Amino acid sequence: MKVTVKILRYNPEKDKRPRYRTYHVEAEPTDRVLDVLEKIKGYQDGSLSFRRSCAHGICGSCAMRINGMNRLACKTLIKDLHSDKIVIEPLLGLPLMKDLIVDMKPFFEHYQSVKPYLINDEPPPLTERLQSPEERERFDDTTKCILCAACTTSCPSFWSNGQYVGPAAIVNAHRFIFDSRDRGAAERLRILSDQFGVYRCHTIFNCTLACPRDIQITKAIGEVKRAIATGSLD
Amino acid sequence: MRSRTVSQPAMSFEYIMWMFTRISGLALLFLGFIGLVMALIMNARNLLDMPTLTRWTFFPNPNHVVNSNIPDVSQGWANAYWQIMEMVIALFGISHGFNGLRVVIEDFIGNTFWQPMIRGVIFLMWLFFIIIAFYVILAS
Amino acid sequence: MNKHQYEVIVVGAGGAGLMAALNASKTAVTAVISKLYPTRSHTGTAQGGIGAALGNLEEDHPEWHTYDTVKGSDYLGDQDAIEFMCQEAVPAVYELEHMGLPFSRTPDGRIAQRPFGGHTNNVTGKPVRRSCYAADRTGHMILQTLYQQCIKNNVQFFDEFQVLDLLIVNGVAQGVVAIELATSEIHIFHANAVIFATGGFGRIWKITSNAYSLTGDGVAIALRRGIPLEDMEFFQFHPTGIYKLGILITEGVRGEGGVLVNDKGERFMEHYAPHAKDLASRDVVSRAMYLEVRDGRGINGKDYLYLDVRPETVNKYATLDGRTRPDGTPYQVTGEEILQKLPDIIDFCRTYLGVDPIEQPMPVQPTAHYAMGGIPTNIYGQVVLDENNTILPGFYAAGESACVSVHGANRLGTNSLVDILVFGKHAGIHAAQYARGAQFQTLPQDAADFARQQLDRFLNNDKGTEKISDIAEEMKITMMDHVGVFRTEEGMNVALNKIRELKQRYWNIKLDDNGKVFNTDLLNAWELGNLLDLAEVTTASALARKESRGAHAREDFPKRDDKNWLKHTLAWLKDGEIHLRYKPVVITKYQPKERVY
Repeated sequence: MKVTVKILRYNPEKDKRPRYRTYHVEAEPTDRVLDVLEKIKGYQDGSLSFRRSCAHGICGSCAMRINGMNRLACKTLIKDLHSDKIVIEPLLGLPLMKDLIVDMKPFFEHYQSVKPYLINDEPPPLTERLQSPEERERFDDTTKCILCAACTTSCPSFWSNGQYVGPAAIVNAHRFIFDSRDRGAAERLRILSDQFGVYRCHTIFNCTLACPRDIQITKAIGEVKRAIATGSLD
Repeated sequence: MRSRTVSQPAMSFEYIMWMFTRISGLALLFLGFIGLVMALIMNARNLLDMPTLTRWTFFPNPNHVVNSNIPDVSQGWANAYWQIMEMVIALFGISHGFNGLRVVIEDFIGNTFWQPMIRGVIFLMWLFFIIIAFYVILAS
Repeated sequence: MNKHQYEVIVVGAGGAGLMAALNASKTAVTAVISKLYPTRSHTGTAQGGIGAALGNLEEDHPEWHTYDTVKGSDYLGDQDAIEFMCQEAVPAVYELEHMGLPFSRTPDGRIAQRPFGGHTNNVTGKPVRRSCYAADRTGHMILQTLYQQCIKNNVQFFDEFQVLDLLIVNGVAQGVVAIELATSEIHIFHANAVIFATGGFGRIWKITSNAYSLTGDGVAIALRRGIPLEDMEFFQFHPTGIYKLGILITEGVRGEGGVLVNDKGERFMEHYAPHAKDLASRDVVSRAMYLEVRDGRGINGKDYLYLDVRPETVNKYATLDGRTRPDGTPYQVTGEEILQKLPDIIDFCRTYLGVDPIEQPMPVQPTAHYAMGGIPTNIYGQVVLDENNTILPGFYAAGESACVSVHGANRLGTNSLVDILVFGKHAGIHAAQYARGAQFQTLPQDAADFARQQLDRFLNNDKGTEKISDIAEEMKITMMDHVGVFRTEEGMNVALNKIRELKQRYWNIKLDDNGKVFNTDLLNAWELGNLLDLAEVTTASALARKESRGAHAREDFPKRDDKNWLKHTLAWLKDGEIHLRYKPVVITKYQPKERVY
């Protein structure tokens, strides 16, 4: 089928501001949007730049706005869009570098600020630390995060103020706070209870909608808020 | 599963105000409910129309109700019970509102140079409104 | 010119690179250079698990793991290295768990293990539960955990920098030249030790499970610097890739009871591998699938087969096989259980095929998956230059881009994650130790020139006539057709000539982008050059090896020939010519015998 693709292009060396360019491509309904982008880059305009790697929804490189919604280009099939007109734009809220490539540094800085690593100074046993299947299940959802930034860049609180750590950082903090082997919950909760932590979340739910891994983000943020209020980590 | 708790609870200004917003919101509803019940006890159904009754719920000025069977009421706000009740409603309501305003503004301006100034302005406005409200309640 | 000085430089931020960096940074000043943000690395897509003989659910020993790996490698693996790897696998897994990796757990709280292709109890010959897993996201969890530990230990990262060249001064490695993608500025990283962990090169083939970024950069750079590549003809085709897309469906599905069926609904693996059946070694299964399709038993006569993991099918064959759970009860599953154990696979199938694996079978075909060959190293990750294992001081390699060789002619599932952890760690430790004791050599003025030339020839080449995509497409189709699961002399000659023709046309590429900010057009062109060189070496090595062994299967030489071919291939690319020499295989305990599953 013939597909019309409108892409917001931006070349910092030539353009004063981003502009839309339209391309026409032949594509199957089962093609991914990423396949369409590769076709355009390969055969129509090699200067089109975008991030991509695994092409099957695991690495998180290709998050972008597709028909207005934050999605992974490699996980969105043309037939999922129910239209032969596709509009592709870069993510919002992060500085635009070129075409569909945004500066991910602020995003990763927020991620690093919540101490997203296991904190446990007790000497480990010779074999594995024990953890029951129930304890493992407790934080299973938030282990799925691929740091694609779809959630954070769909959050109006983050758009208003980029100093907000963002849903992704909170999700990764949650993964450790509720891991029974971790002992660093107090530090992380202190970081998250300050001005740019969980209290910038107003339960808008854009994040949960955008997440390509179907993580219940707003629920996870709520659990962190509850942990701050009650001190209980169950 | 053993119960896990945090060693030191996180007490920050943001947390306290977040809790306060929720508590005051519930409290306002609760106090309004009390006001409504009191009005109905004082035979408000026959004495007041709907708009006035609604106004009473959050602004229980006994002058609204005319019924000589209840001697306390005719004294107006000189009655300590109503003064305290009204001051509590004013305190919760004004604080809840100004904190909300602070949150909305800080959503946008965040940690910039303007923050301490705007916080100061909001604080002064809050104080001003509290003083006025308390004066009106106590002096009427 | 931007200059940086470090003691150790790690190129590549996947499992091997991060493990090396973590260990090196404990004692040496280390930096990691990666063309992607580290969490985008392909390690993250690994699904199956880490093979380690923990014995949490049933009796298991590193010695059994060693034998299974040696047999799996079709006796081409160096047995001393394999033994080392299998012994080190157990502490490596515990170390990962201590770092926080969220393994799936047994009811008594220990790391859960499941069966996997080629891993057996050496006494009974039945599949043994050796694969330590975290749902079906083991690779993702490893990558995240290692990256998190690097953050905790303040490891220095240079993200989105593409390394273009290795610097060798006075016979020792002295660093790398890289381009910063955001600005196109050239950076020289001066270091005493360089560790390459840049991954594989599946993008040579049309249908591959590999990411777009896996273009064999480190391997090609080493080749261009006169370092030979080992065992390049051995490239594994994973049996179950999603039809046409190449996306991997983990062997773990067959571990949980899934079976392969043909058009007639037969579980054809019974004929090709009577004991292990669907859990035979990957090359055996891929060949079986290829033969079924060739004999007309592909689904609807097409070139794919079905992988069936519907509860009723799993239960039917589990009963026939007499499969039991660890506690002795018969192995019967519900849709719920499958959903819980393989959530990501279910997600792929629903997303890309519109198929629910619990209700319908999945269409699969072999997909180019893993490079057993690569930069030759010893067990400490030190790169060796010839059949005498002469070391190039300061140059190390680990992971898929290296060839120790622990995988020989074919890799068993779950062994790659062990490989990257064990050899990444040891390369890091050794490199740090070496670097601290070594002297910095003075870099020549023109250190960055070789790298610059490779890029400059494309920029502003107005006379160019070729498109990157055309050349790439022709290469991929040729390689898939002639240097795939089954190979012939005639086919490989066609392929070799085609590659050489493409290499000539490569110089005529015209770029659409001559800018400086994220010039992905230029990057793609440079990567294509790597793929073409590696395709040529792969095809030439395959053409020369007149036998079938492991993943290298020839229709004209269908048998394994230990008398003439029990040796590793070493391939050099000098002045446009490929030179081949051979290196003996290290055999300690297990004498080669016929490989039957």
